[in-house]
Amino acid sequence: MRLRIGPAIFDLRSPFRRSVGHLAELYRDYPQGMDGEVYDFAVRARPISPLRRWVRPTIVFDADFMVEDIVPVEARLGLLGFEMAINMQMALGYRREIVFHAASAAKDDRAILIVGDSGAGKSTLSALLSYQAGWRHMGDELALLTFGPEAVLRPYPRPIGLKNESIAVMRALAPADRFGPLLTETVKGTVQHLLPPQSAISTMDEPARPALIVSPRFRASVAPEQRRMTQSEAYLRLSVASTNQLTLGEAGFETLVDLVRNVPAYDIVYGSSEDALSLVDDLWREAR
Amino acid sequence: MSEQALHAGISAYSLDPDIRIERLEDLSLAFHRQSGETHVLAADTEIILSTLGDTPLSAQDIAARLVAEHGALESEDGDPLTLIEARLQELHRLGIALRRPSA
Repeated sequence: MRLRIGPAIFDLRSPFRRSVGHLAELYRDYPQGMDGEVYDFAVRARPISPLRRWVRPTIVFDADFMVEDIVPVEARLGLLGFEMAINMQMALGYRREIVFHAASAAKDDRAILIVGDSGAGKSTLSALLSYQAGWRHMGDELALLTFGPEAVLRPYPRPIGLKNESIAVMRALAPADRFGPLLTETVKGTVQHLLPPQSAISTMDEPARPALIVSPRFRASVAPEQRRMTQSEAYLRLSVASTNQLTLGEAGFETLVDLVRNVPAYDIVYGSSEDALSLVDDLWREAR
Repeated sequence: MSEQALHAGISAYSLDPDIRIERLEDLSLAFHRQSGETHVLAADTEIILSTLGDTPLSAQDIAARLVAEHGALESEDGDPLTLIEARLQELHRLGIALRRPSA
């Protein structure tokens, strides 16, 4: 299948019917069938050996950009392998904008950029913002920032990769038909994908100006806290969070310097969804 | 570079034209166009860097400029000249400052 996510067109192929079924379900709202158009990235699944298509079926992936630890996967986890491979193509292969390992969401024409390591709570916070607080979901894993002094964030709204405890939290908030299959015993524990609201996909060509940067950390039952980062801290944090900035030369440097000069950045710590949303709400009201 | 320094065989440093310095509110960043590397500069280094330009300067020249700009250099621990020279050598190693071979 061929589909477009934000600005990038992916060509995905698999001989495993279950993976194809999962992909079709998860990407049902995305533009598809762009035969004849040039695609950006190809991801191909194949059995690790001919017989392993049927016996203890195991999938390996072929794509332009891969790292060893995401392959191979058991056939039942084919969807997860595809999701990781798709991310990897964007993170390492995309050059038209600065790519950050970050979530983003918008209100009107302004956006929040949520940076943090894996497991810090980006996906959960971005799911809460879109399904509980009325933000426009722009992506939970990778954020794309255009170059120049008037840089804007471009949506790259992927299915949100919920893990472990956050699955139950979001099941109470989002319609059941927006969830993908429950994937148990993966390298990340239990994983379930949550489709962003339909409106986030239909507006995925509408960029937003970054107005606030937060680096979240969830710690069970702690009191909410916020701390403003200095500009150089924010620069370093974003530079580390970017998967391609170093390859983009002076244009990447200049854009990132402008970003930290113009957009306030905060560390936030919270122990509950309510605290997370109220912290973001407070900071958003101060941001311009 | 001062005549005195030239004759004494002291190294002189100038800013690599491929370096772009951006001052943030707390620290400064130095971007090296050729390598694409970015360096975060500590406060000391930045003070020294602010005096560097196209003309090669020795540690003594830089000390003289700093005195002219900020008054006498206080040296409670150690010799400011040694400290300046050490920072200049670091900047040279990082590819931020060019070193003119001593005469």
